[in-house]
This record gives sequence, C-alpha cells and structure tokens, in this order.
Amino acid sequence: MKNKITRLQRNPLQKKQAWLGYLFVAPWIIGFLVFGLYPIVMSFYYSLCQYDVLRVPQFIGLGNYKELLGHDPYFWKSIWNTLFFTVVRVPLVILGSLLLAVLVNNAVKGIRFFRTIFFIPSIVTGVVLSALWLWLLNPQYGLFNSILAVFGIPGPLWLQSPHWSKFSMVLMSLWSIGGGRMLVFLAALQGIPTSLYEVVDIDGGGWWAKFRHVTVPMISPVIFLWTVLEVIFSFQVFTEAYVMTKGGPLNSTLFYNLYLYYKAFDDFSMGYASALAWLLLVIILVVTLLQFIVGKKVVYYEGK
Amino acid sequence: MKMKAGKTLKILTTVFLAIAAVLILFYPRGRAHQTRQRTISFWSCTGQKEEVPFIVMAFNAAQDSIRVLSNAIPWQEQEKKVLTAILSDNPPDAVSQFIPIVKWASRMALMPLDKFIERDQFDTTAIFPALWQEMRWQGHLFGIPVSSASYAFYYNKKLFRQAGLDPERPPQTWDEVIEYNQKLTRYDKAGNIIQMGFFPFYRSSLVASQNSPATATIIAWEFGASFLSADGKTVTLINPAMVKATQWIVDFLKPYPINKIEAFAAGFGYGDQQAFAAEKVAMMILPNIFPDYLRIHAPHVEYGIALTPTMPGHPIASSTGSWWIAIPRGSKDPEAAWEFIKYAASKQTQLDAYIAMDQNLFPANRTATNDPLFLQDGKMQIFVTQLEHAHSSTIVPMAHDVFWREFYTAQEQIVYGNQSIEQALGTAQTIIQYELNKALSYDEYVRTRMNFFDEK
Amino acid sequence: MKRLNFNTSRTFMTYLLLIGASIVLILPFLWIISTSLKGSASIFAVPPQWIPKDIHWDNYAKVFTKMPFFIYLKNSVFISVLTILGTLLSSSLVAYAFACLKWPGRDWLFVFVLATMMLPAQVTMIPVFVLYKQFGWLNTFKPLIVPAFFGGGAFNIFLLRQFFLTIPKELFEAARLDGCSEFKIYWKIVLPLAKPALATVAILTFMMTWNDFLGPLIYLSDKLKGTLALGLAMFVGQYQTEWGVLMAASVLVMLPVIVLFFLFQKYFIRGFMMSGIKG
Repeated sequence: MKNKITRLQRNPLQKKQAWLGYLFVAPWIIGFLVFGLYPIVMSFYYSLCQYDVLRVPQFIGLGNYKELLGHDPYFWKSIWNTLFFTVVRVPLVILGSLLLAVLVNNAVKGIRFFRTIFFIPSIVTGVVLSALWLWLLNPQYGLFNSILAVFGIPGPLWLQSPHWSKFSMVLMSLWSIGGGRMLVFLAALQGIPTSLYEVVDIDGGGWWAKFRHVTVPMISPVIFLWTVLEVIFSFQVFTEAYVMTKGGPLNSTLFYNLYLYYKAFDDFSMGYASALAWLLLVIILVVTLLQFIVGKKVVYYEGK
Repeated sequence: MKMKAGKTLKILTTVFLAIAAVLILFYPRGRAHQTRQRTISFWSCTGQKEEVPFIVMAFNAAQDSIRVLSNAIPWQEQEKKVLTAILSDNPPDAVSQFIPIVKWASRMALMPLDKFIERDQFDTTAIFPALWQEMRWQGHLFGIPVSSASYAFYYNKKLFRQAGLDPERPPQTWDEVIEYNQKLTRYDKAGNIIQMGFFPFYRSSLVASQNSPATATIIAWEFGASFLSADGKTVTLINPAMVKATQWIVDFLKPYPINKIEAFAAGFGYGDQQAFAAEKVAMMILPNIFPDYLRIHAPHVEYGIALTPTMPGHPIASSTGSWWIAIPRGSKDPEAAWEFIKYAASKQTQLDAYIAMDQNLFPANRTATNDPLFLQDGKMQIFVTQLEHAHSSTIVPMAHDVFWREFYTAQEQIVYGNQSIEQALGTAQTIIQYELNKALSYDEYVRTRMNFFDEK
Repeated sequence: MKRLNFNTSRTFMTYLLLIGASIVLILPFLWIISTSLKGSASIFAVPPQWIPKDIHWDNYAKVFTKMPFFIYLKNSVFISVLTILGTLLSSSLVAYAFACLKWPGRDWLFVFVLATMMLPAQVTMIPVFVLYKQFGWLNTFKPLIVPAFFGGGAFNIFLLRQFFLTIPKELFEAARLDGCSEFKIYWKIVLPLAKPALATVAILTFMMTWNDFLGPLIYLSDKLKGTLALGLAMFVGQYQTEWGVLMAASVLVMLPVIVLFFLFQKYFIRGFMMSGIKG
C-alpha cells in the first residue's frame, strides 16, 4: 500500500485526493509552523545549553545529555519509577474503562444517571483531588484502611510507604475509569452492528464469547488508541506526585516529569530540563512506534 | 413597508452613532486627570485572611501622592507568575514573596536597593540580622524583609501531666528531650505508637514536615555549624556538628522499629490532624503563627511555649525565612515602590499591622518587636529571642532547592538505616557541590555577557 | 416465557452491577460534598464525620464573595465554547485527511503529529510565552483560544482518526462513484456517523479547558480576566487554606461539566447508526 502512494501518481483521481489531503491537513500544519515550531526548536537549543530562563543561554553542546546519562542517579531512578507506574497502570485503566463501557452500553432506564455518576470522579482535579486522596489513603483513619480493618487486615501505609506509594497512585487513577476514556469506548461500542451479536447468539455463545469475538476486535482501533495515549500520559505523570508526595518517600514517587520540573523551575536548570524532555520524547516515540508495529498485526480496521 | 423599515433603520443608526459620539467625547478620562497621583501595582500571595494586605490599606490611607493597587497571586504558583511577568516586560512595581530572594536576584530580575537605602539612610540594624542574609547577593541588597516566622518550642501541658512531668518545666537540653520522650511515648494494644514526646521530622512534603523545621539543622547550628564557606563556593554539609546532630536523631529513634515510626508519622495530616493539634506529639518546634492555628482547629489543647532546647554549653538556634518586598526590574515607578517598602518596614506600621491583623506573621523590624506594646503578650519575648538567634534557611543560595532535596534524602536514608551518616551526607554534599559549581560557572559566563549593576 | 426470564435476570444483573459500581465510585466524591458543608474545625476530624454536625451553608455563599464568580464563569464559558468550536472543526478536518484520504507522507506526518504530544509542556512553556508576547497577545484570551482552530491538538486528531477508520470503505467508494466531493463526504456522511466521537471530543475539550489553570495564570494579568479554575487556586494559601470553602467552590465549578455531560448523553444512544449497514 505504502509503495503505491509514494510513487508518482498517475491516476488523476489519486492526484486529486493527494491534493485534498494536504488541504485538509493544512490547519494543523499552519498551526504548527506558527505556534509550535519556534518553541520546539528553542527547547532543543536550550537542551544544548546552560540556561536559567532570565539570562543568556550558555552553549555547552552535549554536556547536559552526557551528564544525565552518565552522572545522574536520579535520572535512572525516575525512569524506573515512571516505567513501573506505566506498566502497572495502563492495562488496569484500559481494562477498567472498557468493562465499565460495556456495562453502561445498556439502554436500561436511568442509564444516563449512572453514566454521569461514573463520570464525576474524572473531573475532580488539583488540590481538591490530592487532599481527598491524602485523606482516603491515610493509614490511620482513611476510608481504605478502615474498610480493611473490618476484615481484620492491617492496611498498608499507602502514600507514606516507599513500597506502596506507586500503587497508591495507580489506585487514584482507577477512580477515574468512568471518565473520558470510558466515553470513547462507549462511542466505539455504539458503532458495532447489532447483527454481529445476533450471529453469536445463534451460534449459542454467551456474554464472554460476544466480548471476545465481536466487541474487542470491532473496537480494537480505539483500544489501540487509548493504549498508545495512556502510555504517553503515564510517562508524563506529574501533578499528583508534586502535590502529595513531592517525590517521596525515599524518592519512590520521583517520576520523570517531576524530576524535570524540579530541574526546570526550582533549580533553574532549564537547559538540563530541556535535555530531559527531549530524551523523554525519544523514549516515548520509540515505545509508541513499537506499539504501532505490533498494532498493525493485532488491530482490525473495518475501514481497511 | 420596505420604505418604512429603511427609514426606521436610518433613524436608529443615527441615534446610535450620536450616543456613541457623546460617550466617546465625554467619557470621563479619569486616568488622565490622575497624573498627580502615582499608582503602583503590588503583588502578594493568597492565604492571608485579609483581601487587601494591611500595609497596602495603611499606606494608601496615610498619604495622597501614591496609590498602591494590590493583587493577590496564587501561592502555589507564585514563582511561575512572577517569572512570566518579568519576561513580559510588564512586571508589578513591587512584589512580595517568601521564597529565597536570591532566586530572583541572581537572575537579574530585581533592582538592587542599595542606592535607596543609602540615600534615605534606611536603618538596616532595625531588621533582625538573620533576615538580611538572604537579601544579599554579590554585596548588594535586593529586598527589605517585612514579615518573618519565628520558631519556638511548644509543649503540651496536659500530656506532661499525664506522664508525670511538671507542666511548667519544659526540657532545656536535647538530652532532656530524649528523657521526656521516653515518658511521653505511648502504645496501643497492638503495639503501635499512638503518642510520642518529640518527633524529628525527616521528610519534606508539606504534610510530612507538619510545618516544623528540620531538627538536625537546628542542633547543628547550635553547635556552631556552617554549611557553606565564606566565599560561597564550597559546601560543607558534612561537618562534625552536623554529624553530631544527625547522630542525636539516630539515637533518639533507635528504640523504635522504623516501620512503627513510619506508621505513626503516616497518621499526621492537615487541619486538626496536625501532629501537635491532634495531641499526638507532645513537643514540637513550631512558628509564632501556631497559636492562631490552634485557636481555629484545636482550641482545647493546653500548651506552653519555651525556648528551643540546647546542647549543653551552646546557645539556642532557630530557623527562619522572610516575606520580603522587592522591586522587579522593569518597574515603571521604582521611587514610589521604594516609598511603599520603607513604610511597610517601619516600626509603627509593623506594630499596627501586628495588632490589627487576625492571623499574622512575625514583624521583621526588631524595634517594633522590642516595643512594650508588642511584648504585652508574655509569649512574644520568647519569639523575639529566638529570632535574634536565628539562621536563614537559605543555606546555599545558588543551589537552594538542591540543598534541601538532598538534605532530606540523606535524612531519610539515615533514618531508614539504608546508609550510614557519613555515606548519606557525603553523597548529598557531592551532589550539592556539583550543582553549585555548575551554577557558579554559568553565573561567571553570564557576567561576561550581561552588565548587571551598571544598569538603572 | 424462557426469553422473558432471561431478559429479566439480565436486567437485574445489570442494575446490580451499575449500583455496585456507582457506590464504589461516588463514595469519595460524597466526602467532598460533605466537607464543603463543614466549618474549619471538623474537616479532618477523627473519626471522620460523613454528615457534618453543623452544616455550614455559608461556605457556598463565601465562594461568591471571595472571588468574582460570575465574571470568571462568563470568561470560562467564553473560552470553552470557542475552543470547543475550533477544536471540533479543525480536528475533524485533519483527522479526515489522515483516515479517509491517501496522500504521500501521510503516515509519517501522523507519527510526527503524535510526537508533539510527547514533549513535556514545561520546557516549551517559556518559549511559547515569549512567542505570544511577540504577537502582543498577552493579557488577552487569544493564546487560550486561537490554537484550537489550528488542528485542535494531537489528542483529538488521533481520537477522531481512529473513529473515522472504523467507517466502512464501501461508503466512501459509493459516494465517490456518485461524484461527491470530498468535502461533501466529510460533511454529509462522516460527521453525522461520528456523532458520538464528536460529542466525546466536545466533552473532553470542555473538561480540559474548564479545568485549565496554568494557561490563564501566565497569560492573563487583569483580575477580571480570570477563569473559574484560576479562581479556585486563590483559596489555597501557605498557612491557611479554607478547606470547606475550597470544596464548595470546587463543587460549584464542577457542576456545569456534570450538567453538560448529562445533556450530551443523547448522542450516545445504542446502535441506531450502524446497525443497518452491514446487512
């Protein structure tokens, strides 16, 4: 397919489509050239400098990169923390939102009401969200440990424990599985022809068979979308760690983006932070491309 | 029909244009007529009970030639806001913050105030000496401290009584603190710690530190430690005093398994769950604003205030920082801003502010704090004495945040037993020194390119 | 008879699951509501009080005195509505190009678009600010609105692209054979079919813009130009945070989003679009 496109178009219809393709994409390209190019180029330039935002940058070549790859224990610590968090979080939130979407894809009475309830947690943000979870996960009087105590289980120290802190953050993520992600899955589920489900019914298949053979393949483009997106988002986790734990305890929640923030705005090493940022981009890009390669084999596109 | 509509439209348009013309011609040009009165903009941070800071209202009321317009910026994002304001070439004329002023001064964001101070013979001795430390950069002063925080030793009288201790006799040495702690520590049936006499905080997040400064630095200061060489180039985090101070903490925590300590500390929170307010920790070093806090959240707590315990033969020490007011470069009326600053730091204003405001910080002007009116409340003398012996918490100005991050990381490693004191402090010192060197060399480079003190 | 039983038990199970999940998910939020009615003393009281002893309705009243609520509301609405409009229009156009048209370099450009999401915004924040300063857009709403009209962000483009890819190719071929212009296909066929996807983009964009705090913080200097999200930040102080009032303010700020979500549900009705097509 690709080869056909890149060769000179002889078919006038294809030529027209190509031209229109560029036209439709133009808004983004113009936007990028006007709003995106300068900041991106400058941030790359800064990554090659010592720079504190208010004074002139000092060009130091690859100094920042050399330092963070060879000399900086926090770089590796933060990569580990971020990877761990991503690997645990992404499958859980995708599965959670998907199951929830299947559940609310029923036209029962009052479904609007239920969907809204599921959605509400995802719009709580910032200080309020952090205060709420600091309270919920309080080892002595928080909701979670109180419930565990009913069953006689001594609850962990959650955010205050170097071992449980990252899981605590994953737990926080799970609270918002009814949010936009679920909505997208729901929209995708709406597009599955009911006739396909009827086929499974006739064959005698139950709920699980429908899920496995119809639902998942039919919305696999959207599942794929969210896997890629969630990896990108998880790699950039920041706010919760900044407000609640400040990277602790014992630097167990020192995520990559938090470390970057410290370097950029606390230490005024904007050059170093930019190097961190560009390295992150490369890492995420590689991971995403890998996902695309796997995705080509696994994802089913109706439109193709 | 159509003709009528056209005519109506014409009439309406004419009337509209007429009204617009009248408005434009006679719109009150208030601003143009205010050339006699100068206006300056002032930014302070949210979190004070008063909408408009007292000093602004007082200044505006006290004179006619300058009017201060006050704007509150979100406390959590104050740095970004000021940073972008300076970048936009449209900064406020005066700004007040609590962060180390060196962060802005060393990046040429503020105007040096020396010439104002000299010209008006501003009495620098009127301000507590410890507060000046962070106002200085390369021999110039960049801000005037207006408020501060003074820390003293709070203790819970009721818990003292329960443990058989004399509620009027708080500990005077750190060894006594350990003694008292042994009597004040209590456990529940499951063996968990539910109360302690004292807690040496070793983490830095707001909840984890509970507004109490790091015990290790206070003890180290009492020993006379200095963490930075006089020329500001060498970090001396590992020094005998610091090692001794940290050893004290290790000895203090030795009888308790770390997981029990962790579990105990994990129960601290905000509001009435603050460790002292919740009566979980009987003795704590807390700021002068704490009585107001207790009044709101835990009025039933019976407490006393005393000077910080000391190491035998050594003076007390305390930690402090200040709310300062400075003039960003690019300010359109620095003279007016300076008048405002002088007024805010003056003895009378400081006294008035302290009396008038409901919850307030500590005045930076020691002539105000030595006034009998201020000392009416007997507790205040303690805070004044503490502030006289205080050290600025801006220990390594050019690597401030790195210093404290590494400091707390080292503390955690030591408390958890992961590293020895020398190891942990050594690692921290290496990292801080490295960052300091980078910052200093960058600073040198910039000076060859940008002219700092010859401007304005 | 058999069929009826199956349906009833299925419905019963569904309701059971729905109610169960609702309880689990809404419980933490109820604490926020309960806290919004508490006075300072009992917010973190132990044992936790779910129903406050004294109900402080005045927390809600204080919200209106502590910030110019209605002005901020007006600003937030203005910015959000325009942003949604711009995003819907431009991201659907661009997504159409990526999903429904073939042109050289398409897939490479798509990866490039995605890559723009991978650079942490903290390092571009300052150059972006400087850029807007050069345009003279500081202290206006323009930095918050204009970029939405130029692609609407890689996230939305990606989302819509995936949706458009699920539309059967036959539809396009049939339309093109009939002589339809691409724009007509886009406007008359693809957009209506993608209503749930577009509604989702609208809701997500609304959420993001409504809660966006950093943008208004650094671009707007006039107090009266603030947004609701910025207003919320005013309640947090270094020593004193009025938690009750902050929670009350948050509840009020969340309400429009909840209402919008509830209303937009009408676009999410099961299968009325696609069911006839495969047959």
